[in-house]
Parts: sequence; structure tokens; C-alpha cells
Amino acid sequence: MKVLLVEDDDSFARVLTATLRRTGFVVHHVRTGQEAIAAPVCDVALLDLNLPDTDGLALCGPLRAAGHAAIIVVSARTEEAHRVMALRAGADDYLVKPFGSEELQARVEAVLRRARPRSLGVRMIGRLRVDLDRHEVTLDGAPVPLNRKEFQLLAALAREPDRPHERDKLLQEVWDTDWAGMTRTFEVHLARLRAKIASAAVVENVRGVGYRLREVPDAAAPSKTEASPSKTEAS
Amino acid sequence: MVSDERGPDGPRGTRILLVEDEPRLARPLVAALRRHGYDVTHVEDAASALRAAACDLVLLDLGLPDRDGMRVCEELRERGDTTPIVMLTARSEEAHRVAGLRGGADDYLVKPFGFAELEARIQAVLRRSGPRRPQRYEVGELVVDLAGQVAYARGEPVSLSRKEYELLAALATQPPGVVHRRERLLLDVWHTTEQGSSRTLDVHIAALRGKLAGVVGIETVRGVGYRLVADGDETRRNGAE
Repeated sequence: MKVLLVEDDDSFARVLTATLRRTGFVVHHVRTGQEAIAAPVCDVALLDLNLPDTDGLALCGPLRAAGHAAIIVVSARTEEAHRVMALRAGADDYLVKPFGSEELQARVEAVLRRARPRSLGVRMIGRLRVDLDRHEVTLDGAPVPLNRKEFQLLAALAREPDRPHERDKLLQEVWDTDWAGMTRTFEVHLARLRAKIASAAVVENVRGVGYRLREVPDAAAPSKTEASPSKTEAS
Repeated sequence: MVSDERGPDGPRGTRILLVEDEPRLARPLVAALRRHGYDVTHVEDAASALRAAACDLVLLDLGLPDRDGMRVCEELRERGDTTPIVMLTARSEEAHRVAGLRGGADDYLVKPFGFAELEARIQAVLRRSGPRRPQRYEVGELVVDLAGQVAYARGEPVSLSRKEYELLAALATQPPGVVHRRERLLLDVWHTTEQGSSRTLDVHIAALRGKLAGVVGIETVRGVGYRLVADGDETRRNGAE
């Protein structure tokens, strides 16, 4: 289970991260609202209200729309009015700091029992079809055999095909690490992925920024080139 | 049993069962809930709560005269009743809150509380509980009947242990073809986020595969999870779609 922790207080975040990891969660920690919006989709978001760039309440809507399955506000604000506002804004629960680790775990589990992950749907990159729920990739209808990491890498890129993805973020999402020593592994997987999808899509290297998934312009069939470069299809 | 038409927003017509023996608390609560448009049934003990007609949400006091409210919650869950439950109680220690939530409650509110917070929590719980799930799922020649908590293969009941049934039900309620993640199954069936039960999951999957061979297959998606497929579908999946 993945937790997105949105918390600008590093010492509190460290304790919370350690607690959550001990109980089996993978924690993705960010410090600002802007980073929270750009973070990979998680099963549950723990959201502090006092963030440097925005009020946490204003994030409930966008986080939910992005597909995070559940939101628990974690805040030092104790008034009932704050709890009511947060719950009405879309939070599933509201936990007042300080709280015990047992209660945090029990509340996260209670919320997750109900929260159904939203369908991530299907992405079309030209002729390449990436089904994010079924973990299936097809090219002109024929299955493309990808191993797990290759699929996850493609899925991370395909979720927002037009945006360049930083290597650090991809490492974090696919390998759950920010260790630079994984760079070689990353490159090996990227090379294999590129080879397997080469006839339909390329993974461009955007210098100094990251990687972007692009449809290969189809020279052999000019009639197809006017098709939109990438579109999202509901599953 | 329960209609699917409950609106996602607003209380109008939402049926609430209030289980509270203390009239001084129950009376104003019933009045306030009705004023907001909820359809409230009020009972004062555990026995009546367990006999009550289906509703959309239960507000459950823990200090009941005949039985502890915790038992009511556990008994409802053991029956397979997934109606959302919000516990209302004077027991304020963390250990009590944890026990309540782990026992199957969706939320836990310590008395005294403001009506605005109760109402906001009721709406939050209803929102994430979503519309009632169908009571019956079919995958090929397998039927999983959630109301009866029984699975049928080609019309014959399959003999399953409690956990095997829960695991099969979790897999069957997923939309066709969608992968059910291992962590999700551990949470749904073993109520844990810890990976220690991972081996237990493998053992139960193997047992289910044995019992359902020739009817449905449980496909492994390596490192991700499992999905249920009607037997014969595996070959189709590898061919052109």
C-alpha cells in the first residue's frame, strides 16, 4: 500500500514515515501542495493543513480528482469547525496531532477498507494501448510482453504522456528508491522497454529534465499521421 | 434488501439506525437528524439492533444494557453485513478507538460531540461507502453469492473455508480482468497492511485454485497480484484482443 505524506515539518514526517514503513506501507513524502499534486497516485494521502504554499483544505479536491483513493487530514488544529470543514471538503477522516501510531494505523485501515481505487483507465500512445488496470500492453491488438518493471516504467510515463518525467521521480515510483546506484538498472530497463515498443513509440530524453513518451510518426501509413498524438480513452 | 438509489450527497431519505439507550442523548439526536432529512429508526438495546431492518448507516453506542456495542458490530460483520457503522461512545482512550475501528467500525466519535461534526462524519462515511454493491457476481461458470456467503461452481456449492470464501469474494467483486493487488487482498481478507501474511495468501490462492480447477482460473500477475478469469480465457488473453 502506498501512502502520500504531505507534511512540511520534517521531524514529524520522519517519525510518521518510520511508523508507516514498519507497518508495511510504502511512503512517498512531499513538503508542499505543488509537489503533492505532481506526486504518483497513492492508496491514501495523509495531509497536513499548514503547508508553505497552500492550505491543505484546498488540496482535498485536486488530490481526489487525481485518483488518490482516500484522504486523512493530520493536523494540530483541534476546533470542531476545522474538522467539519475538512470532512466537507472531501477528507475521509481527520486526526488531531499528536496521535498514537496504533490509532493512525487503525484509521488508515478503516478508510482503506471502504476506499476503492479509482480506475486508471487506458492510454493510447499512437498504436500502443496501455491498460493501467489490467496491466496489459498491446500494439495493434497484439500483446507486448513486458516484465513487471518495464510495465511500471511504461505506465508511469504513459499516465501523463505529454509531460517529461524526471528520472528521480521514475526511480521513486518504479523502484521505490532515490538511490543513485539504481541508475544503471533504470537504464537497462529503459533500453529494453524502448526496444519492445520501438515500432509504435519512443521514450525521448528531454535534456536536463527527464523522459517523455511519444508516438512514432507513422511514415509507412501517411493517412494515419493526422491522428492525435496521444489521447485518453475511458476503460 | 437495500436499494441502490441512495444519493451520494445529502441526507434526504438516508436511513439511519440509532442504537442508544440513554434517552437524554437519543432524543435530541433523533430530532436533529430528522430535521436534517434523515429517516431515523431508534432502538435501545443490542438485541433490537441485530433484529432491525436494513439501513444505510448505523450509529452505535457501545454501553448498551444487554450487550456491549462492540459485539453488535462484530456480529454484523460476521454475518457479512457491510452497512457502515459509526461508533458513538464515552470511551475515549486510544486503545478503545483502535479496537472499535479494527472491530469493523468505519468511524469512532467520542462523546460529547457537536452535531455538525457527527453530520460531516456521517456524510464522509456514506461518500466512501458508495452505492451498495450487487449481491451476486458471476465469472464464467462460477457464481459468488455475497448475501448467502456461498460460491457455486456450475450450480453446485463449493466447500470453502471462511478465508477461502472471503478471498474468492474479494477477487470476484473486482471488475472483469482487473488485477487485484496483493496488498489489497491482505487488507480485505486478513485486515492487515503488514506483508508478514503474504505466505498465507499464497497458500489460500493455491487451495482455491485446486477447488476451482476447470471452472475459473486465478491468474498471477507477477509482483502485482491476481485476477480471476473464466477457464479458457487465459489462452484468449494471450492471443489477439
